[in-house]
Amino acid sequence: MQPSIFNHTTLLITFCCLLVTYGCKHDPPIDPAPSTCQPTTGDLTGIAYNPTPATLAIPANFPAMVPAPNNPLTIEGIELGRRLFYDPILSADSTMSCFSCHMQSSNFTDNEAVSEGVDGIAGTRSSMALMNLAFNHNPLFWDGRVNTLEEQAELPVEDEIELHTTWGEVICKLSVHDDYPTYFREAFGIEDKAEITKELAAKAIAQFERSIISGNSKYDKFIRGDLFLNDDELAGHDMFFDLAPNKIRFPDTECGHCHGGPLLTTNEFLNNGTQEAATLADFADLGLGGVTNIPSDNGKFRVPTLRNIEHSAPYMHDGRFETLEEVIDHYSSGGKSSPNKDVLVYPVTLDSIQRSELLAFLKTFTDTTFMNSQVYSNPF
Amino acid sequence: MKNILILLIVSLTLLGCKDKPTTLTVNFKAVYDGAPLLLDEITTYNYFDGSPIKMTGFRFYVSDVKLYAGAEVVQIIDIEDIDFTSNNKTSTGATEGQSIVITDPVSGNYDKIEFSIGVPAADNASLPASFGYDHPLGPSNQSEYWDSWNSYIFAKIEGRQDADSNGEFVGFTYHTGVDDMFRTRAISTNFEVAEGKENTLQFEVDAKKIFANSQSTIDLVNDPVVHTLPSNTSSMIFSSTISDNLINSISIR
Ligand code: HEC
Ligand code: HEC
Repeated sequence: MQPSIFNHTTLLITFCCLLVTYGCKHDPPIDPAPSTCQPTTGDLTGIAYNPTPATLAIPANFPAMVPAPNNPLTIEGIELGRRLFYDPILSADSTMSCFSCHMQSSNFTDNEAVSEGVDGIAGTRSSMALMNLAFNHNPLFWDGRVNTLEEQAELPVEDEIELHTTWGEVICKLSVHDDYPTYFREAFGIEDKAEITKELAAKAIAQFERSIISGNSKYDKFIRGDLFLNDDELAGHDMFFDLAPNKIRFPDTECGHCHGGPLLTTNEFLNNGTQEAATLADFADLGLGGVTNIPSDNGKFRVPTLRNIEHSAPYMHDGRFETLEEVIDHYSSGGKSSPNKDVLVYPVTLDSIQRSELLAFLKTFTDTTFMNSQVYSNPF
Repeated sequence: MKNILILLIVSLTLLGCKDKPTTLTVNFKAVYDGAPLLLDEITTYNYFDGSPIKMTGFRFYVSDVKLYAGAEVVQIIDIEDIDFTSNNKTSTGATEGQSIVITDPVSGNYDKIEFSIGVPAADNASLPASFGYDHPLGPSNQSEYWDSWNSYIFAKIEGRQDADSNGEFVGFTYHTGVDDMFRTRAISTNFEVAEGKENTLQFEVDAKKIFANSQSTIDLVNDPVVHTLPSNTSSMIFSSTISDNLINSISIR
C-alpha cells in the first residue's frame, strides 16, 4: 500500500471534527471522476536526447549538497519538474498543483494553519517551506515519514486531501499532451510516449525542488562578511546564538542550537513544547513517534528552517501561531510541559526591547532575491 | 571416525590456505554507575546526592586514538562522533554500544592507549563544508558545528533532574566546545592486537562520573544550562570541569 499523507483514522477524525464544527461546510471527498483519457503511444526517438548537467550556484557559506546519485540534476530535468510543480494537470479537477500549497510569494507555504486539498478538506498539518532541501540529510515532513524527495513527490497526487487523482490518470494526461512527451524525452531519454512513469515525474519534481536555494538574506551577507547588522539586529543575534557575556541585558534564548548553521535548522526532530502531555502517550499529534513507534520520539517534529520566516505565517506543524510575536511569547514562556520537552526550551524573561531585537534579527533571514526569483516562479 | 577425518581435512584446508584477516573493533559503551545507560525519557538514575535524573542525550568526539608499544606509536582513529543518542533509546542498542571497525591494524603487544575528547585544533579551524559529506566533521554532521564559537561541539550531555524528588523533572544541558576544551588522556594497560584475530578494544564511559568524581561535582540545579562561552569566565571554568570529568569518566575494560 502507498503510504498516504494522512492515515484513515486521522482522516476520519478530521471529518468528524469538520462536520461537527462547521456543520457540513465541506463536502466529503468524492472518488475521482472516471477517466476519459485514452493512453497513447508514439515514437520519440526523432527528438534529440542530450541533457545538460546542471551546476547550481551554492552560496559560499553552505555545505555540500546531499548526494543523489540516482537522479543527477540536469537543466531539462529541473525545467520539467518546475512545469509539473506548477501544472494543475496533477490534480483531479485540474485546479491545483503543488504550488497551490507551496507558493513562492509565501515562502513556498500556503499561509494557512492547515492545508486544504482539491475537495476543500483540511489536513491536520501546516504546509512546509520548500527550500534548501538539497542540503537536508534527514527524513522529510514534520514527522519524518518519508526519506527522499523522489518518494515524497509521488504522494500528493493520490492523497485524498491533496490533489486526489490517480497516477494512472496523470500519466495518461501527460502522454497525450502536446509538449510533455518531448520534455520527458529530453530530460530522461524515453523512447516512446508510453514510457512516461510516475517515477520519472517524481524525479523531475525532486530535481526542481533540489534547485530551490535560498542563501542571500541579510543574515547570509553578514555571515559572509559583506555587510553588518544594525544594533537591534545584532542584539537579537547575540541572544539567538548566546554570544554576549552579559546575560541580564542579552539573555540566552537558545534558538541557535536548533535553528543554527547556514540552513537555519539542524533538521533534527525535537519537542519544542507546542503540546501539553502528562505522559509520553498523551500527545494529540505523535509526530516522529507515530512513525518510529519509539515512545520517547512522541511529540517530536522536524525543526523547520527560519529562512524567510516573516513570510511563512502561521507557524508550527499545526499553524497555531499567527505571528512571530506569538512565537517569541511561546519560547519565552518555556512552552507547554511534557515529559520529553527539549531541555533548551525553558522560561526566559524578555522585556519589550529584547523581544523587538529578537524579532529584528529574525527578519534578517528574509531573502528577497529568492522570493522574487524568476527561476522558481510559475512558468505558465 | 570417517566423519572426524573429513572434518580434520576440511579444517586444515580452510586454516592452512589463507591467513585470516586481523581486525580491531573499538567499542564504546555508555553506562550509568555500571548499568547500561538508557536515553529513553523513562529510566531514572541516581544523581550523586540520591535524587533521580534522566539522561536524554549523550555524544562526544573522540580523536587521535593511539596505541603505544614503548616509544612506538600507531594511530588507529583520527576522529569519530560517538553518539549514543538514538541507539541508547533501547536496551539492545545500549548493550551494543558504538563500534568502529579497523581492518588490518598493526598487530603486536601494546602497553599504553592514548585518546582525546574533542576536535584537534587544526580540524576545529575548518568548516563542515571542507570535509567529505559523511566525514564525522562533514556536512552530514552539521548540527555538531556551532558557528558562533567557530568550533565543533565537542560533547553534548543532556538530561533532566528532579532535585526535590517530587516527580517534576527540569532539564539540564551541557555543550562544550572551543580549543580550550580539548582533552587528552593516556591509560597504561597491556593490550594485544593478535594477528589473524578479531580483536576488541573496549571503552566504557560512566556518565555518573561526569556529574561527580573525587575532584568536583556538577550542580545540575543551579547551573542547568551551560554552553562554553569564551567571553564568560564562569562558563569557561564550568565547561573545563565538564571536559575534565568527561575524559576521566572513560575507562578501558
Ligand atoms: C493540499 C496542500 C498540498 C499540496 C497540493 C502539496 N503539498 Fe506538499 N506539503 C503540504 C503539507 C501540509 C506538508 C506537511 C505535511 C506533513 O508534514 O504531514 C507538505 C510537505 C511537503 C514536503 C516536505 C518538505 C520538508 O521539508 O520535509 C515536500 C517536499 C512537499 N510538500 C512537496 C510537494 C510537492 C512536490 C507537491 C506536488 C506534487 C506538493 N507538495 C503538494 C501540503 C501540500
Ligand atoms: C529545542 C530546539 C528548539 C529551540 C531551542 C528553538 N526552536 Fe523553534 N522550532 C523547533 C521545532 C522542533 C519546531 C517545530 C515544532 C512544531 O511544529 O510543532 C520549531 C518551530 C519554530 C518556528 C515555526 C517555523 C515554521 O515554519 O512554522 C519558529 C518561527 C521558531 N521555531 C523560532 C524559534 C525562535 C525564535 C527560537 C528562540 C527563541 C527557537 N525557535 C528555539 C525547535 C526549536
